[in-house]
Amino acid sequence: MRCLIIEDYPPLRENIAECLREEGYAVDSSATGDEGLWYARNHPYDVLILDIMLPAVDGLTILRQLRDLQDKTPVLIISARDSIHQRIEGLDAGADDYLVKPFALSEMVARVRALVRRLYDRETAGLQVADLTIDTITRSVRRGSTEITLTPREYALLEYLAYRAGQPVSRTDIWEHVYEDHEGGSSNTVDVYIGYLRKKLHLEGLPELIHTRRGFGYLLAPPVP
Amino acid sequence: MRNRLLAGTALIVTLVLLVSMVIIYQSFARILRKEIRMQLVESAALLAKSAELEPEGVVYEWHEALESGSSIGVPGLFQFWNLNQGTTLSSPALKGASLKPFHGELDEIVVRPVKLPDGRPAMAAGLLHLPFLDAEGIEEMKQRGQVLTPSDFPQVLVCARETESLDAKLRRIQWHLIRAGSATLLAIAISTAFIIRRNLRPIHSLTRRLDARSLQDGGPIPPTPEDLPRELTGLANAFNRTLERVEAARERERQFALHAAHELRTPIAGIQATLEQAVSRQRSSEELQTRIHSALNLAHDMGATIHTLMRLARLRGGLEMPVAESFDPAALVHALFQEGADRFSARSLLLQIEGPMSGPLLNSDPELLRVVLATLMDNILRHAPSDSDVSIVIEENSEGFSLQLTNSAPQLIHHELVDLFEPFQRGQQVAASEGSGLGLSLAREIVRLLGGAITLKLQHGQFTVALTLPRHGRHADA
Repeated sequence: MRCLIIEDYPPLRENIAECLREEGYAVDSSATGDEGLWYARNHPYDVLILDIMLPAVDGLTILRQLRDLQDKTPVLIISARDSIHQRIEGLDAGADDYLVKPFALSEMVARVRALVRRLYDRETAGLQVADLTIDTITRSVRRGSTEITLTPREYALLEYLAYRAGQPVSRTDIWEHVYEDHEGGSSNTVDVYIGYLRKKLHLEGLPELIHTRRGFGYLLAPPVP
Repeated sequence: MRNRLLAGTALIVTLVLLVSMVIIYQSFARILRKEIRMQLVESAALLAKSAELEPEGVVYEWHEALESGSSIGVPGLFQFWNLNQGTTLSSPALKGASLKPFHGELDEIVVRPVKLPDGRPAMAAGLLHLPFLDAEGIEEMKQRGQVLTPSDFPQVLVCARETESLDAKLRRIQWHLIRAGSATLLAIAISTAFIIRRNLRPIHSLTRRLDARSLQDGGPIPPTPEDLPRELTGLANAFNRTLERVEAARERERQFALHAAHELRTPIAGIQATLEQAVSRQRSSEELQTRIHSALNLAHDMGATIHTLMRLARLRGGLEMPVAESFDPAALVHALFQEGADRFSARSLLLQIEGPMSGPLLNSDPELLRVVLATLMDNILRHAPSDSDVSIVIEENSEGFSLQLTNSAPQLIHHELVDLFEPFQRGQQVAASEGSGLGLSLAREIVRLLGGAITLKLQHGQFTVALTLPRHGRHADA
């Protein structure tokens, strides 16, 4: 999952980014409204974390512009503006959630998870594909009763495929939702990580769950009988 | 107010009506009594002329007429006393009863209230007179050889008229006047109440609107009602203007509080996030120390913001007053910027100071001026682009001291200048981390307190802060 943070206060921005990365998210961040708007308009994010009082372009203007462009990216506002009127104003401008500063990072992460679930039409924190179970809170993966240990990047890749289980996902999509903007590499990187993931998910006697769609990408789905 | 107006009007109207009624009543009573008095005087004069001296003695013509079956010609109650003969003759209306005799000087009619024999009140005229003697009477006396002299036959005449009916009439008049007065008072009270109510209606309407407005948080101030009496329009407009100023001040304070909350919430969020991340997983002691240091720095920054906020609040609230001390402001500027020379070098800012190294002494507060100068220096160091020039021009004369600080500010927009003195206002391109946004507010408050002025100018990307201070500033002892 890929997030964008637009927050002008460096200590907060950096800690949120670090926390989300540790939770397996790919994170881009921006300190100004105009730069943040550019990021939001040019990349497909799963969640946008947005401050309101920003230099250059304020958060509500960014939000309204994105909604005018039919951008449906879930937006979590983080703001010191705590009055009911201000919260209503933020939500009415198109935000999906509103968190008043100061807040616990754990709560913010939980809200981000909830927004991602809503984006992919899921109701619970658990993802299930055949005998593959993913707990998005503990970030643990099991195949049947066997626990599988994944690196953060492998987990992020699997989680994204799991959210879109049953749909072919292009390499570009994977790249855009699992990797950060500043990370170099190519679509081969995706293939390499898919290879790692396949190895770890392959258990003796159990069917393959990641299927290749030649010339397009990959599909996570139960085996076709 | 309505009750006072009503009570006042009622009191005045009652007094006026009472006085009017008393005057009217007295006039009526006087006229009626005067009429009776005149009638009595006329009757007395007429009756006095009916007493004639004849050879046989005093003869009363009215009595002769009565005896001959004619009318007596003079109605009413009267009685004659013949003082010489000690006889009395009363009118038939007295039915044999007797009046009390009284009189004044000869031929002087005296009128006084009396009681009739039957006890009724009356007015009576008393007259001491002499019977008349005509030429024919004298001739007849001469023929008889005995001429009588009128002065030997003094007569007392009292004629009376009962006043019971007059009193009854006056009582009726009194009653009519009371009824008319009460009706008038009632009508005036009702009319006054109606008029007062009608005139107070716009005030009540204004009060209701103000009451409703006082329950709202913000919103427009209700306009002065069009039907408000002209006399109150000025008051209402003045009240609205005051209310607008109060609302504006309240809004400024509200914004100040909101901004203050924001400015404090964000670093708290930063500290919380830093510490939360520090303990979120196992970290090396070096890494933990780095994160704790970061949190400590944020706490220090927040402490500085709170300190500035408190000072601004104290200055605005008049709790902090400048002291008066003689010092050299030019020397202070040079010393302060000399102290900060390394910071200017670190940011590759070329600092040029024009003006005297020392000059006339200023009688003001050097500590507060130092705070202003330090704030302006921090702003330059924070916002001036690297590798740019900073110029400071000092001017001194007998009037006071002036200073101009100019630095490059390519990101600043002209219309932002207006707001820069407001607390927590930064240029649009300036992030929250770059200063608290309180510096210029604090500088302005202090300079105002010292009796000086501070202005901002932006020309060709050059931002100038100009401040002037009078030679003798305001201070606590002034």
